[in-house]
Amino acid sequence: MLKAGPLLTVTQLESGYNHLQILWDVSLKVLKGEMVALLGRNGAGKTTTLRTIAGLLKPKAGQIDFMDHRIDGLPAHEISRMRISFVPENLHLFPAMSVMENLLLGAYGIRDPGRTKGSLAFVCDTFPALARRRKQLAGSLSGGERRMLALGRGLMSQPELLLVDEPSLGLAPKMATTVFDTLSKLKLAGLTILLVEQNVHTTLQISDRSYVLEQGRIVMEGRSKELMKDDHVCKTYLGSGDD
Amino acid sequence: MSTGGSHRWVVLSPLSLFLLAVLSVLPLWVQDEYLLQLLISSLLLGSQAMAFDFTAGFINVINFGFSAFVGAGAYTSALLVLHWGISPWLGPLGGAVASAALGFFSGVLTLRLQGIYAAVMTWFVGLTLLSLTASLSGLTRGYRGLNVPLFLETAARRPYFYIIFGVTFLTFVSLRWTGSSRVGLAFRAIGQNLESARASGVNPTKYRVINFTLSCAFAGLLGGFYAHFLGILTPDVMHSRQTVEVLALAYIGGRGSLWGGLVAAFIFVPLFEYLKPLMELRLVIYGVLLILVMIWCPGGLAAIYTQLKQQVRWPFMQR
Amino acid sequence: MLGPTALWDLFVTGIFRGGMYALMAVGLSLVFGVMNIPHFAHGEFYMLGAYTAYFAFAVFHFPAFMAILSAASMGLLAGVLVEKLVFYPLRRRHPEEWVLNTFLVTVGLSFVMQNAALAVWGGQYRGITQYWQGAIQLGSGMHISLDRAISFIVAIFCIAVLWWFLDFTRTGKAIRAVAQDETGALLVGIDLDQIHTITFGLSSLMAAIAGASLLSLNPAYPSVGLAPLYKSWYVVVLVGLGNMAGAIPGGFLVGLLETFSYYAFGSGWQDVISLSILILILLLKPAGLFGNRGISLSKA
Repeated sequence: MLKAGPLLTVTQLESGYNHLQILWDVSLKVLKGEMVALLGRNGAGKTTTLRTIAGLLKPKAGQIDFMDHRIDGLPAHEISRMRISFVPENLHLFPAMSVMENLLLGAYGIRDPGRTKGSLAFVCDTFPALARRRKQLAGSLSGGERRMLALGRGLMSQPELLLVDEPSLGLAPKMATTVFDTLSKLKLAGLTILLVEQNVHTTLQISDRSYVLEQGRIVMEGRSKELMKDDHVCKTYLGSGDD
Repeated sequence: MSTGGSHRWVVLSPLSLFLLAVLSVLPLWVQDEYLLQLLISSLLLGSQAMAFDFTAGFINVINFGFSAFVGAGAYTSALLVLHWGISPWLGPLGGAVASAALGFFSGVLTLRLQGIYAAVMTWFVGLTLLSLTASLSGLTRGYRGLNVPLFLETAARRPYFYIIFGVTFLTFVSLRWTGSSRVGLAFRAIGQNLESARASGVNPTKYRVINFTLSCAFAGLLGGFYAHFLGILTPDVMHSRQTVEVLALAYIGGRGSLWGGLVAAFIFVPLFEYLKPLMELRLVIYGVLLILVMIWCPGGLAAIYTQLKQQVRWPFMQR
Repeated sequence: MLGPTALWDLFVTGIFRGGMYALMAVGLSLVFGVMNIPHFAHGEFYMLGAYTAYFAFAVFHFPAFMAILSAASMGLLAGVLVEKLVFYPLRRRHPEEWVLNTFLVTVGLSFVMQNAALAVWGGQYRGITQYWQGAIQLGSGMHISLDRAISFIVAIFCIAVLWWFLDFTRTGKAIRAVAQDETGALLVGIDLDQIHTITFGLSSLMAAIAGASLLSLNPAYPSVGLAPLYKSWYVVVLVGLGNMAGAIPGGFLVGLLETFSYYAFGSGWQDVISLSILILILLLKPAGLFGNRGISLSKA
């Protein structure tokens, strides 16, 4: 494991929607080069955590630091320009634009055409299927292709940190495997990833460390390999065979 | 404002009863014809604002053709009196019936439409009524104006004050009563969330049509009284400009409160009359106030009053 | 019975009218598509453009194109100002019930602008005889004044430039992105506030150009924006709220419809008939003739 200072530090975060508080006292760290997973049931607060880090939700209390900058309370577009990419569960693509336009908009914050070209080459390399369909409208893609496009769009800004929410949701098993392979490759290439995923088994296999969220609080954390052997995790999340 | 499910036969709060009582005896002291005229104008605009709010504030549909319904009532009443020789006292009832029928029709037209689409539909219905009135010049004399018989021979304002006061009182009490009945509860339910209202057994179709018909009936009634008070009608009474003035009063007063529009009328109509330099800018100020209310205080005067009431407990407000 | 030349003349008149309707409607559509604002004060920016061009051309003796350009800048400036002063704080404070609330706000805005114009400039008509002298003759023998022809070209040119802007520039793409998915736009780093200001400014600019280039046909007076407002709403409802591409054929369609029904029924009844058609369309196809975008935006 790389030995480095934390890239992202979340301290005593409280967040939620209007009067409905979902997160209570959530603290976590993501080191540079790590893949960290957030585990938990539906409604445990995983998505809320990601949305709050990405700036789509304003935290009620607590602090979020990213690369020596305090980012809690900043608007989402500024956080995105600080090189945090969020790939949400429901993708939020631009349906009436082509694959190419979607990708180029991913690099909206980069004004340097040379760098944009570089990211484009990298993304097309990572997702050859997208390159083949670059003129097709995003709205006409299949579910798997859309997820690829969302990931690709997220990578176009050359992020330091990638927040990914449920990347395998609704995908055929084969497609899901491809997505996980891609994430592992990106991690090997040096990208830091904070991952939320239903498929606990695979997630524990590919991630370095994990946090377990229950009812908006972190109840457990540790190396993913060790958590795999933990009684509570086995019973609650791996028990009846998630795969 | 009570949203209790049971019928409340006493629908007026002690404060509003007191204010209405003061208003009703005011002309006994006020001798000035000009001042009386102002009070009448306030009553007319304020009661229109209440009828408008009955749709906007309760079922959350903006009737952007509102003045066309007022105008339809006015023209119907005037033509009934002119051509069939009906007494001016009965004419407005005919106006109410005609506008209610038009309101029923518009209610049906806007049934499937939500939000801005419903507003646009009522706007177009209003524009159509306006163009029709202008085009049917054989009947309405178009923009040359229609002379309408007055209620009374006298030019004195005081009797007219009591006529209009009576109509306003009737409007206020009936709308307030309906609003706090079970029907009113259904109105508010579909105004807040159509789908969940439907899920809990309220039939949105039925209640939207009822609401439209009622609101327009009062618009027509008020239009009739307006006609025989003013003595002349042009298609301009149906213009969107008139709707905007009524709408501004209703929203400044506070949506869904009914009384807010009346209070706003009593504040702003005399205010503009007395500040002569402001008279020219009257409509500009209405517009600015409407914008400010929408941005800074969406509940209008009614919300400010509620806040005050919570802070200051006046002795006569306690039950 | 109409002969082929008379038919052709009516057709040309309709198309020429339609160009301006399309320009107004595209702006209205843009504001609804990107900002979800049913813009009731669109005609007031037309009025502002007409006044600015009048003063520039008749009082300060600017050349015609400069007069239209100054009207465009005034429209842009006023649009940006209004967005910053009105819609920006509203979005901050009350994002709920946005569509209906902004409708009411634009109603207020229209009241303010129209009556401020009345207070400042009075009710009289301020018009010019013409920007450019001359007329062009069509094959049928019908003459069309040079002003009308140029205003048509200006309208088509503006629409083309807007299309190019939206299709090929970084900001234009960002505008389309916001129209298609606001959250997605935020996530790729697009500043919504900035895009909203630009969008409202652009739409106001186009309305002002329309008002300026038609000055010799419609003089400037406080409520001159009312008719263009009705017409552009007519187009937008016809093709579906927020359907920008549809607004162009829609504009021509309405221009033609109006010219022919005016010919057939005369001015008063023509309104009644065209409005009835619109009510029917709203009733049967609330999303407009082409497409279904509008409905998904009408959650208010």
